[in-house]
Amino acid sequence: MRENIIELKNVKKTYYLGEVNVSVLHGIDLEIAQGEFVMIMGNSGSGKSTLLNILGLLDKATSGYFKLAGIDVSTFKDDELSALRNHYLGFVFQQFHLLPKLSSLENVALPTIYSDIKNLHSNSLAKTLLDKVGLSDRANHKPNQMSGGQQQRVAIARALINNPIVVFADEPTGNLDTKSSQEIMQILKQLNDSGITIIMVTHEPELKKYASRIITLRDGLIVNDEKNTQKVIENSDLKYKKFKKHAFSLLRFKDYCLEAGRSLIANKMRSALSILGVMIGVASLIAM
Amino acid sequence: MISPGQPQRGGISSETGARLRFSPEDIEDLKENVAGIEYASGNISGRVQIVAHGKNYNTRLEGVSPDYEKMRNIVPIFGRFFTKEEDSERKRVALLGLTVVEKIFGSKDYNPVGEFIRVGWVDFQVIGVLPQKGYSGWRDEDDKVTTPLQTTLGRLVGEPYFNTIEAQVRADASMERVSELIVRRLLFTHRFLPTQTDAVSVRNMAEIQETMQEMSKAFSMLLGSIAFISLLVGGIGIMNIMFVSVSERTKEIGLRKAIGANNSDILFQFVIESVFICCAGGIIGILFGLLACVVVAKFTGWATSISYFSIALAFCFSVLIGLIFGVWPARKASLLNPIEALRRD
Ligand SMILES: Nc1ncnc2c1ncn2[C@@H]1O[C@H](COP(=O)(O)OP(=O)(O)OP(=O)(O)O)[C@@H](O)[C@H]1O
Ligand SMILES: [Mg+2]
Repeated sequence: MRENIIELKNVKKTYYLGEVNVSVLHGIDLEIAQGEFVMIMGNSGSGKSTLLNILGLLDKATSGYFKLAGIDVSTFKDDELSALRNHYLGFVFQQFHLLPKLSSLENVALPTIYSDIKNLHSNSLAKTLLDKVGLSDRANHKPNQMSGGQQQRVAIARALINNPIVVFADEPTGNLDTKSSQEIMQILKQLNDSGITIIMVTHEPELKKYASRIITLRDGLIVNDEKNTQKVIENSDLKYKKFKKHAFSLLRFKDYCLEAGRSLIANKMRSALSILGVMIGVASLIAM
Repeated sequence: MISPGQPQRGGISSETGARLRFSPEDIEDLKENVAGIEYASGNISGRVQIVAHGKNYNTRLEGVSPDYEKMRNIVPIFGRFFTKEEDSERKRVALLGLTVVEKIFGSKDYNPVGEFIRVGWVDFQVIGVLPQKGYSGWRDEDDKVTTPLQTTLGRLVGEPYFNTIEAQVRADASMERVSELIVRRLLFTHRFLPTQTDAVSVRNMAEIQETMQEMSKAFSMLLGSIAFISLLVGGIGIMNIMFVSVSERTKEIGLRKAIGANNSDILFQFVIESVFICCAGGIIGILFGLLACVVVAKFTGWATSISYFSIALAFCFSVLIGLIFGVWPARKASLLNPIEALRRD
């Protein structure tokens, strides 16, 4: 019996919009074991993204019990959730969400800034990962110099840099053509083969063949949970990484400076204009 | 005629029209016959060329009476003021202002007492150095030579007439009454009709001083309010640019949070960015402001003064505003959950 990496019991989500309450998830019970490739399907508006965001700790459930990697996260504070995400999880979004002013290498290495374990080789690791997704020759390209499929591969490499145990993908192929979709799915498949749990939302039935389990949602409830047993990978020797509650420390100060400096340099025009604004303010004060 | 250093309100300056000219006898006559006058001094001035020590220098010469020392509380840096006898005997003695000392003898610290200078074709002996007065407006008050009135009239001007008498009224006397008496006496001694009062004009220095003070107060209030407005405008500019540049990055903040940044990570990055922008902008701004002052001074010839206080105020104010408006929106964004922040455009 493999350990469950995710355990949900009676998880509900309600959005409070002033007077109106929109109830999106009506009590989800779900267990996901390590090494599974889960696809969440369902009609638009059925709550797939909402569920995925809750599973990925990007959003909080209104009520219910949620255990991730053996940790009860329902009582965790924002900062602790951030650290958990950084440590255990990787994300791939439909809109890629790469930082436009950073090169693909810098984008891939971005999560290491916020990780506890200082990875001195984050750059070479990022290079290895870019190589793995077939983009070693694009290390210095900016996102807008690459195709959607290439950007999504950079995003996958970014999701992998902290060696996650689960990767979440919300319609990762939604903005891509068939060929690029196939490439992305192949990469996700390889990751799954190496033991990483993949949880993915999709609309495309033809991608079903990659999954080991397909969950169908309708109106905030799981209406179908189908396991494709042949696809189950019995490789689960991936050990839980130890997680220490992250404490804020000024040791990161250097990182902050580097990050701030990089962001200032990356956005030269914006920085220059801001400096100009301050300059005119101060100069006019002094000239008086 | 401005006299900011005057210790006592109550100096009077009288001036004649074209038909009435003063002579040195008038001074003594007024002091004897008008009750209430404490001191009186004639005054004549003009540009002269002085030659000494191998140097040639153009400056202002002022001929005054011995009373001038007390009226203006003159305490010479070196040497002494001239005496009543030196005035009446037309002795060729002179006191130099500090600028003149520097221009002729090379240094402000030089003691020129005993040296001879040539004014026009007349040799004068230096008997003292006038105390430093600095600038009044843009005029260097130390750029002058003071000589006895009668010496000046007799040896340099060549005729015993001058146009201005300064008088100081006793503290217990009425200014209006004394000026009336002065006019009446002058008209009498100069054989004018008592009705020709416009031949003499009396100006009350205290009044002039008051108007000047009021004017300079209004002026500094005007400058102050302009400074305040530019502080406001500058501050709002900084506010805008920081707020916009941080607000447009809500998405970036969302992404950073999604991949594991916590709120203090985000905040620190933005604090550092804002501090950098504000300090860089502040320092360049200070340089530009100073440059502007220098340029303005060059073109207008005004003595602009830059106070360290205003520099510090401008810098601190802009850094503070920049920090607040660089960090506040970042904090707002970092409190959103990552998904909401990522959805923003
Ligand atoms: N922030 C929000 N505030 C209010 N209601 C929301 C919010 N996010 C989602 N919803 C509502 O929750 C329901 C489910 O949304 P969700 O995004 O999970 O759907 P989905 O299954 O991912 O749909 P799609 O396939 O179109 O992406 C929708 O009816 C939506 O209106
Ligand atoms: Mg969705």
